[in-house]
Amino acid sequence: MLLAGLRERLTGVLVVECRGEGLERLINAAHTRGIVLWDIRRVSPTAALFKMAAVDFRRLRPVIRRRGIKLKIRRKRGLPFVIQRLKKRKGILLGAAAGAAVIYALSSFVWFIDVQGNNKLSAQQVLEAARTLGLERGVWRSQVDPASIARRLKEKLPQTAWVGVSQQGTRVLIKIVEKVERPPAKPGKGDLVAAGTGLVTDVLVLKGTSQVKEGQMVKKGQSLIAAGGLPAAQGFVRARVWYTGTGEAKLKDEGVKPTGNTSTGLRIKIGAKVIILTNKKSPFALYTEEVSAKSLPQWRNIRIPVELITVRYREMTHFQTEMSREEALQAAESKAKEDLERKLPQGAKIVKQQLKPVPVKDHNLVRVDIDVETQEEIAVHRES
Amino acid sequence: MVLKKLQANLGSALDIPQDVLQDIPKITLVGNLEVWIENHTGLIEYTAEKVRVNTSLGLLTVSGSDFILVQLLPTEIKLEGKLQQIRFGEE
Repeated sequence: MLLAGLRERLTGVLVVECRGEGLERLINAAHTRGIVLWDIRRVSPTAALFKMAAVDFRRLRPVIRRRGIKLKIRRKRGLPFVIQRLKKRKGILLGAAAGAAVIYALSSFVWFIDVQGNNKLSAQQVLEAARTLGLERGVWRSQVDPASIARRLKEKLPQTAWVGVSQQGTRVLIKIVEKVERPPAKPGKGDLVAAGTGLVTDVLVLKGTSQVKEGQMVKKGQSLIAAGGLPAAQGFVRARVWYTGTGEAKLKDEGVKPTGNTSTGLRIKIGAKVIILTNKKSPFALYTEEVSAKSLPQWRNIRIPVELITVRYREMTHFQTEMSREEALQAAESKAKEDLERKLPQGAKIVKQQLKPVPVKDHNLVRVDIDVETQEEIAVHRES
Repeated sequence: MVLKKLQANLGSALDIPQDVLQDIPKITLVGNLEVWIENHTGLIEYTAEKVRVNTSLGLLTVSGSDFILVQLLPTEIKLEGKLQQIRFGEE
């Protein structure tokens, strides 16, 4: 019926009032001529309203001619009549066309230029640079070539590592990634001092006076080569340094760990209201949950207060492990190695290494220490 | 007549609805709000309180109030309103 209604709207429908006797005969006569009447409604014993297709109205005339029935069109509906009315009132049509033309014309200019990602550079600087490249408010949209402007903008602004220009309707978005500026390596000043505690093995003085001898223990911060009157001491001091890495392992261990099964629940948050879509509760008995929210991108000052919230349930299970003494020792050793790895500075050369289990009071615990001796450069400038 | 009877017998033997085989009117009611009359042979009277339709079984009278002829097709009538009574034959 929806489709039939559509067809009627396109071809035009008349609501006709008919006055006189013999409505039934009119209906039957119209019917035999293939004129369809519908929604026939008696309003009084001698009057009725009905609907018909506009194109059939002319054909109804001969039917009523000899019957003493008067027809009167009450309402006209449908596209043909709308067009007719518009033809009579050209002003409306003209206004609508003019409005559309104005909107179209206005939409072919750049109205907004936004700058994103600038920290040190001010938006003003970026806009100024863009202006010299022919991108400013009120510029013809088709004249803006985002790729070339992005490239030339990057050349203009040496502080940037990357510039992207994109057009979104009447808005141009300039995205900037600024260069991360590293402070230039400052030349050292003053004395060379020990970076850590160790036993000095080699001293090589290039500039300055040696303060330590080979075979001497030095503490962190102790002066190794004095600058004297020179701006900076130079030289190398090599020393033996000791590190210890420790690791522990339990013979019997228990706790919870994830099984790998997960399930997600979706919620929509509108303002302060939360609508739960799926999985109100976790399907698992033992679980951890992680909540993340996604909101719509903010545009200018308009923020749509709708968020999609995803709750991720991770199934957990109790576990219990038992290890033999040897396995525990191995686990402790690998942990000790990791610990040591963290403590060793870069460039340290391991000279000696010793592994030793450490007795502990707790019978459930195994502990392993790794002692290493390294050979490394320990002379650094006090100020750097 | 013989053919008609044969048709009717065959129809009931094969469980085919009578209205398909013969020109018997099929009347469908939707509560007391709507009535469909299929296989009619002409509209005789239409007022807001009474509708009379010709069928192969004679006159069919529908009475009630606020009747609207929603659809009028060669063999089908759809009537809306408050139905009270449907009967075959004259009152």
